[in-house]
Amino acid sequence: MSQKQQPKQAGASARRKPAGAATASAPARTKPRRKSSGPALLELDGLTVGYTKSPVCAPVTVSVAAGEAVCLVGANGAGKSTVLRAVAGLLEPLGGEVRLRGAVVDERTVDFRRQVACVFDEDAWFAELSVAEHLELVARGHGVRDVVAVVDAELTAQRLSEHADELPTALSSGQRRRLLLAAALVRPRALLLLDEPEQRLDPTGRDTLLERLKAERDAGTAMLLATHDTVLLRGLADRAVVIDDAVCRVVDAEEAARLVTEPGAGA
Amino acid sequence: MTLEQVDGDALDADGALPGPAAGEPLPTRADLVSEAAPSRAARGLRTTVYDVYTTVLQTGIGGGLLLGASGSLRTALQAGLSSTGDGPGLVSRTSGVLTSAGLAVAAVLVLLGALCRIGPVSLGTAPTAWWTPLPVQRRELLRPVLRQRAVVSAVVGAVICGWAGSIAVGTSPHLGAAGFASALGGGALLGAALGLGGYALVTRPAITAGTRAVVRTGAVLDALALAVVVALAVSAVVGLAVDEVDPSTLVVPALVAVVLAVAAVLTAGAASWRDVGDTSSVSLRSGAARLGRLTSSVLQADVRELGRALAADATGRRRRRRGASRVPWASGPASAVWSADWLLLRRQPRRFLTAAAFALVPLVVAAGTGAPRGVLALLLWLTGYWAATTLSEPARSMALVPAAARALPVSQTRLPLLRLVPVAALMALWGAVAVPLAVTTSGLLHGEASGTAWWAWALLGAFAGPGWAAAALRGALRPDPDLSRPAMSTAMGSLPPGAIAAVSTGPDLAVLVTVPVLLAVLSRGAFPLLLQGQVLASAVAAGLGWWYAAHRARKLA
Repeated sequence: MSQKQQPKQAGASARRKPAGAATASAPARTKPRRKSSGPALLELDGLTVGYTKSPVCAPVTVSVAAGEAVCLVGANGAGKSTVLRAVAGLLEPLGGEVRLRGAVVDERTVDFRRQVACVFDEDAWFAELSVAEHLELVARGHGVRDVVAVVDAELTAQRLSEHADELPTALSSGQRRRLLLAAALVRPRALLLLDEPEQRLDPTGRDTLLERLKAERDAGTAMLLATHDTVLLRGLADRAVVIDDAVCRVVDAEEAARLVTEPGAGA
Repeated sequence: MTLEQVDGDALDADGALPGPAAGEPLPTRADLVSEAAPSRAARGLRTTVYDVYTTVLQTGIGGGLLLGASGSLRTALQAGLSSTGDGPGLVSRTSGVLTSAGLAVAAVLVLLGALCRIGPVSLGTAPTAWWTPLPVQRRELLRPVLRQRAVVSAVVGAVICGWAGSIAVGTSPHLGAAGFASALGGGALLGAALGLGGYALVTRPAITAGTRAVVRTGAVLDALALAVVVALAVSAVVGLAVDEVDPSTLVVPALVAVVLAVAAVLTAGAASWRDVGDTSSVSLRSGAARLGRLTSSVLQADVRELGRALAADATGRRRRRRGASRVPWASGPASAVWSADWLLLRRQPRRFLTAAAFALVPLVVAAGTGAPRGVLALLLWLTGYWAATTLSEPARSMALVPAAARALPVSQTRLPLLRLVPVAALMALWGAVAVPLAVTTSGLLHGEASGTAWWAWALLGAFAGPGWAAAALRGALRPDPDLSRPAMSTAMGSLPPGAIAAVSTGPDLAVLVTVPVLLAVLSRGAFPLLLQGQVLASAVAAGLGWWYAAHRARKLA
């Protein structure tokens, strides 16, 4: 890390740029929406998941192209998070395949980790690193140019600028959630995997989240996310997969939102 | 060629992905460590000097204690082995050399098994969560872990086996200083080789097969350690072992073991060094979670959490037959508590095996070393308390999850009593077996006369068992050290307030329970008066343990 001393020396003053400067980099990501008709970036082909030998849900088959957002919906415990963990390589599938750009995924490969960013419900922090330093660690780890500016922009976008120099353990649970989201967004990624990203966020946070994810999708990032939020579903999803014991169906976002609000509607 | 080499080469430097532009060189492990770790300069010279002082002092005190204990044991062994026993019931004793070597090997196996359960190749929780998803070479992150743990395994093995070797020479009083040095050095060399070779072997399943395989490997190592202890116990009871084995006769087997260990390092170790980058996130995360629990339990001096961290299931999930009740014979609050406790114990069969192994330890040590009778009572105190602690996990979990106890229609006063009953029954059985076994090789078990017959010792043990169970109940609900207050400076370093109480609450009651056992051993018979005394001591202990546990349970609730 040739410039590793830079952020520490720059300190908080470098991070606290005017809001205009911080947000200046955001439009770079907000390009006109690409139509999601390209080749599949991510393919789940009969993916069967479970923690023992018994599957937690029916096999999942769906593909996600660049610039497309696919939501996983289903009741608590249906297996949405388990599917996401298998896609992220954190759980060995019981059957079927997950392919990224046509190759079976293996999280041990550098290329997979370069392309896939995950936001799961994790709560592990370096005891000595501040909020901003955690983000700098991720950005530097991905070889991001102009780390301080990128991190400052993301802190502003996530309304965490005032907490940049605090330890993550001093944040509220919603703020820590936003920090995890920020960590996924300060680095390049082709695919975003998000497990109920709306959890613990206040209404403003949810609105911001929706706008950020829409911008991400429009900039060409593929997204697979588990959610119960109908606003996210209607505002973001191109399609949704209903995770269930019997069969996992691919439906449009509107039907998925209806199923979330009226669980028996699709039976 | 490993996965990472292939993909590292295949990476396109351009990296045209959505999001912030990339192109800077990726950080090395040293960069990541220097960014994440607190710098010494930032902590100040005073802190650094204090850390160095504490480390040197603790190492010195630890080494001194080991050497002192070694010298005392040697003297005791020479005296013990020169005697021919006290009575006609004396069973041929195992050689002290074999006992020392066997127990040392068993200890190394147990430690390697524990290492398997916390993940032979793992990082802390924060590095796992933040470093392993980075597109940096994973082998560069993990190779230092391999190196550090290999060194620690070798050092721990060397200390254990070197110490055991130095004790073993006590069985051969004609060995001079050179013999002592060679036993110490040879033991250390053997232990280092065992630790290193063993570590090299257990890294393979961690890298190539995943969490379940490495946990199974740990179970195999535990079973091997238990088999060694059982073999020593059997040899003592049936008199298979010779009375005297010259330490020099172990040279050839030790050399063979060293050669095998070196071969393991050169094959499995080299392969692990090459492939360590292929370790999956699943394995790393599982190891990190256990390591986190382990570290936290050590920092809080909480052996309850330590045991849980080491015994936790690899997946944390259980298969269940559809429609089958897990507690089929529960028909009220009391039986529900007993059913749940039994279910918890049944799911961790290693607790029963551990308790069984503890029952054999006094026998093996007494058989191999001719330990003085006071030492025998000390061993029964320790192993009785540890066995009860092992079987008291349900009560220990009560302190962890007080809300679960509140969910039952049982008062916080009655609940500890309910929890005590099954453990007391199990410990009565344990005592009825362990105590007669332990006194077998000390010549205290002979004849049919009252007090010296096996059944008298069995009764003494059966009466002591519930007392040890009560002591374990008291220990289960003891308060944790107060980490919110400033640590106290002691010669052994900084300790949080309440650390001493956390360690001694529980064993203190076990001392009371063991007093009649000690008197029986010293007076060479479990005479009726001592049996009555044991009943009284255990009853008092049960009352005190229950009172304390109920008081703590009410406070926690």
